[in-house]
Amino acid sequence: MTPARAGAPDPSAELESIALQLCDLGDWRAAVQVKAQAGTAALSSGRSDLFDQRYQEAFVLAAAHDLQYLELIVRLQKAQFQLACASAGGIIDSISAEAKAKDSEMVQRIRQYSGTALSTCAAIDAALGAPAPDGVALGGAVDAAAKAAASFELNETGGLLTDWRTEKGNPPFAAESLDGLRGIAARLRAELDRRYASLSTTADLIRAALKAVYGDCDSPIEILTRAAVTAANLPSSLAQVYMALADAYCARAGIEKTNSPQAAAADLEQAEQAAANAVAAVQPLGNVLEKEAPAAKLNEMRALRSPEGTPAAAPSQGFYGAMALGQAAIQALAEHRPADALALLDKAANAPAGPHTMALGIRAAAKYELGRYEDAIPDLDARIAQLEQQSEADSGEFSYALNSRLEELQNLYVIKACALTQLGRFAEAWNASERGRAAGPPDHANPAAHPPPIEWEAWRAWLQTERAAFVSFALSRWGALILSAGPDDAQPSAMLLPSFRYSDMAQQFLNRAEEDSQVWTAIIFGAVSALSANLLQPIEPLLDRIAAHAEVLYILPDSYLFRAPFAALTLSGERYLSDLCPLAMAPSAAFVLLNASRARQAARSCLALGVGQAPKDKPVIRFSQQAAAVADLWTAPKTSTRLLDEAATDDALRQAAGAFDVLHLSCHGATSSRMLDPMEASLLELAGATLTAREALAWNLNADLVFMNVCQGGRFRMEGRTNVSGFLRAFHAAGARSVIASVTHIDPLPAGELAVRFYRHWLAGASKARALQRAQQEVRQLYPADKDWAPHALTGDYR
Amino acid sequence: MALALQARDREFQTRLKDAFHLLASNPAAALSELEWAEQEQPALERERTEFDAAMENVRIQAGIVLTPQEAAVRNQMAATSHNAWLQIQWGKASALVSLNRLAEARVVVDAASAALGPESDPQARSMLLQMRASIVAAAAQGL
Repeated sequence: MTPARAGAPDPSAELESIALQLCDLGDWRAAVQVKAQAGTAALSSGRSDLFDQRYQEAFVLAAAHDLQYLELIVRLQKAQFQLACASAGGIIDSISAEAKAKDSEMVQRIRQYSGTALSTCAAIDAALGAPAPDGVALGGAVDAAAKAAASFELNETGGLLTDWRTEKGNPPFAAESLDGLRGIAARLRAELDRRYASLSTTADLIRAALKAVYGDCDSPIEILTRAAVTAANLPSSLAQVYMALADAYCARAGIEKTNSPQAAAADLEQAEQAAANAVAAVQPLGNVLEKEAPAAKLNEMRALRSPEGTPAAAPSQGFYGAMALGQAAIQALAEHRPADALALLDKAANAPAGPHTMALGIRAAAKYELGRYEDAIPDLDARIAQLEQQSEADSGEFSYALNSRLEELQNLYVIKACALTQLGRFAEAWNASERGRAAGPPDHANPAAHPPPIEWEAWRAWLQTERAAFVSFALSRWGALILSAGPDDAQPSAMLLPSFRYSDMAQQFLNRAEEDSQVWTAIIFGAVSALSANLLQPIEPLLDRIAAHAEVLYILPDSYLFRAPFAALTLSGERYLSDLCPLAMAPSAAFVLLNASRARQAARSCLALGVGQAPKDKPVIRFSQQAAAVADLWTAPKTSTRLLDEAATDDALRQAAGAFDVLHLSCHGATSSRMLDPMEASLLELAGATLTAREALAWNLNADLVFMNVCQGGRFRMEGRTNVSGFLRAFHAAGARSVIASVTHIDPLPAGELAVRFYRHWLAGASKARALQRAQQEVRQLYPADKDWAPHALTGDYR
Repeated sequence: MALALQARDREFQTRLKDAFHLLASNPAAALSELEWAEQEQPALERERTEFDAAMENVRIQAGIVLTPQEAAVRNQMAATSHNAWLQIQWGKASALVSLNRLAEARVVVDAASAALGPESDPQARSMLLQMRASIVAAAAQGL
């Protein structure tokens, strides 16, 4: 927005004056339009306060004079303008956020107005259907229909109704006259249907574009596909929908992951088909000008699918053009042709960069691949700055768009950390890695739950004080970046392990088809051998060194490695990693320090919850018995409270949770891969109700520990690459210092045994990490299968 | 004389209509045609008035009284002429807006509004006010 020049007349005020003159003349229609122009001009000259006010006045004026169609048109105009502002600004700002909020209201209003108008046609039909049409009822129905026609600017049909009323609207009614009215009502219905289709299609076009601004690639395709059905009889609108659909497919192809070239190619094929549909849609139209844009779009889409994969002419223009070039560059990169990728990106350089153009990131990756590490860093920093600016305006509410941006941001930090590692600047590499790990949308309700990243020196000091070591893994297309340090290391070590790339085990760990099934546990523990051999054993000397004098080894995983059962991974000679050193997990160093800084409680009180029983294929074990066994460990002066069976309701748990140092939860749990919101996807089955992680997020805990002896209690749907969600996020954000949970299903017998043994060690004075290590070692003697002794992991504070 | 007037009027109407068709696709050409129409219109009006006066003389000499229908047609002709003038002013302003010559467009609209006067047809005044609004809005976008 550019503020108005000093001394220049205020266009908004002038337009407002014109609107008032039009009101004086009784031209309400024109007055509404000019009021809307005044609103738009106000925003253009930096008066956002007047923007809403003028538009609101326009809506009120239109409604007051039964200009419903115009009101809807102006509402759509407002949304389009807001959208244009958001796109032009390249940021998701409050303007587009407001448009998003109004989106459903708009659709409802279109439905409501159109429905009311159409009901007048039905009223005429009903009156005509009577054996002897009643003059008053029929007259009233015709008047209402005439009014509806006028409000939808169907003046000719409105005139026919008025004429009928004047000339033939009194009984006795001739059959011919009633037939005539029937015909007029049918005509009005058809016209209103077309009006509705037109308005609804415009709303869908706006909504789809709005979703695209938010970086959502899938929703625009769904919305526009539905809109094509609605607009089937409106050639111009239909062509617009198909052109937008072509762009939407093109955009999705442009941001397909590097490992999905087939999906990108399929989307480009769909894009071409959509453009061909747009051409077919305008075929019946006489206006040559209307045929130009669809034809150009088809050429553009065909060029995108040219054999050389290089967009020929049009794609270099505009937002979608840049996206298409970006897609071609991604493909070149995937095929290890970084020089070609850079050439394509140079072509795109003249195109206006859209808010989600990843060109800078792709360019940086191409430079990295060419060994131009130093050269890649400015591109990475520029794109990181763009994304971080956007994330400042994010609400924090989960969306695919937000997740996609977060993932891109964290990818960029991984590339930067890799580049700095290649340059031997390890402390900077650690800082970059930590920034990526700590990235994420702000938590406005609970800012402390999302701490800012910490610098290496602060982390080093904490490691030294606590005698802690850490190893972090970041998976990239060039291998696993491994950063680590022991308690006395002044600098972090950094190395790239080329033999373990992101794609190597992604399919196994991100298997959405099996995630919700019992097979999941077998998949996870089936990966132990390969993970040990490819990820851990190559760095065994490093692990031995940093763990030698450490009280705890913090593992900072990345992406799907959050699902890896690190306790069960082995080093040479069948040594378990968990035997090398007590383990704890965290997404970032900032997360560790946040939890460590929370006031420590002695484990004086325990709330033990147990409800449900083992599945049918297991021996009958009631979870309430297991919870009671845990509660029995709290002997005087310590105290325990039990919520067992019917008493274990979500209300009871919520009300009591804040008063205890330890929460022990023994119940059924699940995580669905099909829910949109990861916090809604994780749930616990309590007495009579389920508890979602979203609900637990709002609690206020003072707990030193939450122990979830629950199937998949520690599994969560990924947000970005390193952002924990589900109950891990909920309990930590609510105030818990540490959480013990399992990413897989658990067998109640060994799991119950593990809990009791853990508490005995911990209550005897061992740290949580040490207590868990010992409990796992002991349970391993009784139940040697990895899935029985190793599924639990500790996150947060290890002490 | 009648045939010549008819031919001239036909040309005027045709070119005026074409000018409006050109407004969207070729505003510069439309403006040129509208400027021709603006110059042509007074001459055409003068010729029409002279013709009417000549016919009036003939009628008076023949002792024929103007019927109400003929008077209505003559009034309608005058209204049509006024309407054409208004259309020309609107069209010129519209073409100038398309050509981003906003100051000139404003002059055209202001002059036309002044010529209309405050008591004139509300529809005509509304039309010019809307054009003025378009000019202001276009200028605001260019700020």
